[in-house]
Amino acid sequence: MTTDRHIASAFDRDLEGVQALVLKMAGLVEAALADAATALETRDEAMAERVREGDTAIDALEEQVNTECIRLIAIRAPTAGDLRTVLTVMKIAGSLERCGDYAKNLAKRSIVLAQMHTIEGAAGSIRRMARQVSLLLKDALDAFISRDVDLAQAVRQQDRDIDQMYSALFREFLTHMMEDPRNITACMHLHFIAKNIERVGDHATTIAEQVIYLATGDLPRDPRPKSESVTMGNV
Amino acid sequence: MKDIRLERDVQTETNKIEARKVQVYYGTNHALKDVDVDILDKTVTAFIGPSGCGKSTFLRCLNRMNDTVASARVEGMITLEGENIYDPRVDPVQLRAKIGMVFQKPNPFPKSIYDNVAYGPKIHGLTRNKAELDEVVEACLRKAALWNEVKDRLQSPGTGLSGGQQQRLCIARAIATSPEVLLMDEPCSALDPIATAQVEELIDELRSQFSVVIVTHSMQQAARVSQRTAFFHLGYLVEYGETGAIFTNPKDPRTESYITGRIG
Amino acid sequence: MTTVPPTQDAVPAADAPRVAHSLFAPDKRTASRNAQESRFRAYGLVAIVIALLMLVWLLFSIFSAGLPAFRQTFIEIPVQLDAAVLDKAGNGDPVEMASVTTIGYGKLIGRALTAELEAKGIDIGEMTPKDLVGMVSENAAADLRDMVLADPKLLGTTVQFKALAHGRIDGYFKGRVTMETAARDNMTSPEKLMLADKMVAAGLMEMRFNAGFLTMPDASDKRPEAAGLGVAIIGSLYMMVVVLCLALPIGVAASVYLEEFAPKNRWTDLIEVNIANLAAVPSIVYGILGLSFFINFAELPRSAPIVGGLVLTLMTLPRIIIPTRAALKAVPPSIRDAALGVGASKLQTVTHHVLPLAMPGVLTGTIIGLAQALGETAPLLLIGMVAFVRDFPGAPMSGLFDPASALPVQIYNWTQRGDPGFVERASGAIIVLLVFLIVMNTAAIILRRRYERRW
Repeated sequence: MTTDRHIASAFDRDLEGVQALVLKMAGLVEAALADAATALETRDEAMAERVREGDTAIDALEEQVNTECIRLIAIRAPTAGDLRTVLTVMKIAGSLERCGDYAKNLAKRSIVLAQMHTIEGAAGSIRRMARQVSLLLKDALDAFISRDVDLAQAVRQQDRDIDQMYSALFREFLTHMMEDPRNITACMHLHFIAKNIERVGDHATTIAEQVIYLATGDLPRDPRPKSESVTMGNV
Repeated sequence: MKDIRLERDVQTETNKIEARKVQVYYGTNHALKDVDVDILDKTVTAFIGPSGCGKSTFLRCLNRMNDTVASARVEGMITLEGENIYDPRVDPVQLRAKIGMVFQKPNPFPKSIYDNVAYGPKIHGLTRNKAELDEVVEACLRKAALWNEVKDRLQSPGTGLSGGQQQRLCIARAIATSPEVLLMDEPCSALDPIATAQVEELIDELRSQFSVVIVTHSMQQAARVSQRTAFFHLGYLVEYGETGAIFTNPKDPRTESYITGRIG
Repeated sequence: MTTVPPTQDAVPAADAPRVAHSLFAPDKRTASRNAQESRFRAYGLVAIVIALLMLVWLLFSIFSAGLPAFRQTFIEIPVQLDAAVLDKAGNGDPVEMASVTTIGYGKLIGRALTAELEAKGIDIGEMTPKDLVGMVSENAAADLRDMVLADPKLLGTTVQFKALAHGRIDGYFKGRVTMETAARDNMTSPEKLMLADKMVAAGLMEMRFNAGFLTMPDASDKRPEAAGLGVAIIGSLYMMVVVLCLALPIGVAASVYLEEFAPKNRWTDLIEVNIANLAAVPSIVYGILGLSFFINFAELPRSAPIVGGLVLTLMTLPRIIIPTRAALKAVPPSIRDAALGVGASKLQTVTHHVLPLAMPGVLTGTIIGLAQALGETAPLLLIGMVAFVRDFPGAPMSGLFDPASALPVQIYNWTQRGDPGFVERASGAIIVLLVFLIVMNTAAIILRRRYERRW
């Protein structure tokens, strides 16, 4: 892809503007995830509330990105790499908005869990998983900034680790629920939290695949690397 | 809609040219009907529409070039900063020093590059001596992004330049009389895509000093270059509004049909 | 209800097999087309060859008849300007000296010739000094008289006098006159011819380039050797100057007005049609117009270059206006738009931009119009320029009112004269006229090439 400037400098400014918006969005989402996981661990209801309220800013940014992208397409009629850039930005914004929603959901559930008794080790595992997924998301966005295909491929591979962590947590929660039926409510919430974090990982993979499309013009042909489905196998 | 290009945000509120109920007749043919439009200062306004819709006719009304056509008759009022340009006290020759024009086919005079740009200031007596004239010529060529390419050959003929350079020379010539409005009648239709992009970038830069009105048959060009767009159809002004809005969500169905390529 | 049968011929049979026809195999139509074309080309070539042959014939006949006019036989002898003959009163009074006619001078020439021939040892046989004077042009005595009256101090001296040989002698050397014809001729005799041969051998007589053909005025019937184009050339020159000074500005101004400023209505259409027709009016009609208006009404002098110039101006005006209008029309409207767009007024647009671009066309039209005017005879005949004019017209402006001649008229005049020497003169004048015309047309071509398509 060429790195020359457009003759019409406004076109460059428009493209850079819209990419900057999406990076700003990514920053907000990463912070939201980290804060929500911390709030869960430290049972900090105030922080969780802030995360819930912060989601409106993420939604507003997504709407702004969409409006700007539509305007860019209508007015500039981008082609080739420019067109893939705009489409990728729109898709990344969509993925990030969903991730933001998951972070909000995490915060909501952690407020509920704060009222119940703790499940041993769960918060720690969740915090580790959340941090892992946050790093994955950051790698995906870094791959987007530098159009790095290898990094994007690595993100796709690393999502397997997230899936495995989710499987492990699923078995753990099952065990807890079978041991003591009073744990069921809490474990269900924790399970949904783990599922949502795993979904954030999937979105990071989607972003990575979009980056590969942006850089090469083709989506990756091989199927997504997935660990064996937990629900299908024997437990 | 916010203009995302923050550095180029300039004051665009005042009206430079106001047209009210303008009609143009060519003999018995009612070519332009009931046109009401406000051209803003320091803005690029684009006129779009299918062939024969009256956009060029209206453009030529703005600097009274229609006076040269024997059968043309203009009714209604067009004011430049409050003064009616069709008032009998107004001399069209003087008006055209204030409203410059660039044409479709680049048409530099068959004189030297220097003389091309200097002609306007000379006949209107805008400079007092040769030194001032030299300054004006240099300033205009710089503004037209042509100075670096021609500064060593100012005496060579203007017709020896490439198409894009010739058109930029015509733009330099038009701005040499320090006009307040610059009218451009399909300025890029005779140019290749690179030259077109250079001229469009030039128009974007000029907008901070002049009000520019550009007639174009390329909708994409109107979208790229203008802040306000007026759509003409069959002699009527159908819709006039902010460019981003016109191209993403026009109000009139005829505008949408034209822009999406269903009519015209 | 009747069913309408489907039209069979609307849809062509889609499955009829296409006849395969090789590109290499010629078909009949192509062959006949090609044959037609080659025939046409052949006709064109033949026409060109015939035209060239006729051109060659024309040039050959003119040049062979006319070139000898540029060479003339001269006799150069010292002449003793005896005061006893020329200044009888002996006081140097010009008026008195003017009373001596050419006969007296003739006598001196006779004496000089006799002396010179004796000195060179040429036997003159029974020829008298009067006979000897017959070897020299009748103009010689007049020339000598003019020389002495112009500079009376020459009186009493001996001057080296260059005289034209008599027309018949000159004719002898050019092949027109032979011994047989000389025997029947009353202006010469075989003895004179033989003497001429001897004089040439002795170096007293020789054939030289005759610049006088171009500078001397016309001469009377008996003296073809002294006839020159001087007056005719000056007359033509004056007339061309008048035409240039009048027709060019008026024609260009009229074209500019009609093309750029005049309103487009029935009257201007009428004017346009009439101008086109005027270019085709026979030139003799202009002569009649000139006669009735300039000579009878305005009472200008007959045979003057001013009248000829005015008549030719009238004739040349349409021929300038038409190409000028075409040249103005050919300037692309984008130049006019550009000038108007910058704020030039209509007059500024025309004078600064349109006219300079149209100038090559204008000049070509003018030069060609002038060249045509140079060769026009009929109108000049009617205004009286066919008269015999011996004196050079004066300097402009008053000289324009002196009687003069013109090149084509002079040619006509000379062809009417009896002496065969004038045939050569007329052909020589035709050559001079052709040279002028070629020069002017070449100038037109060069101008056209140089200024072509500057936009």
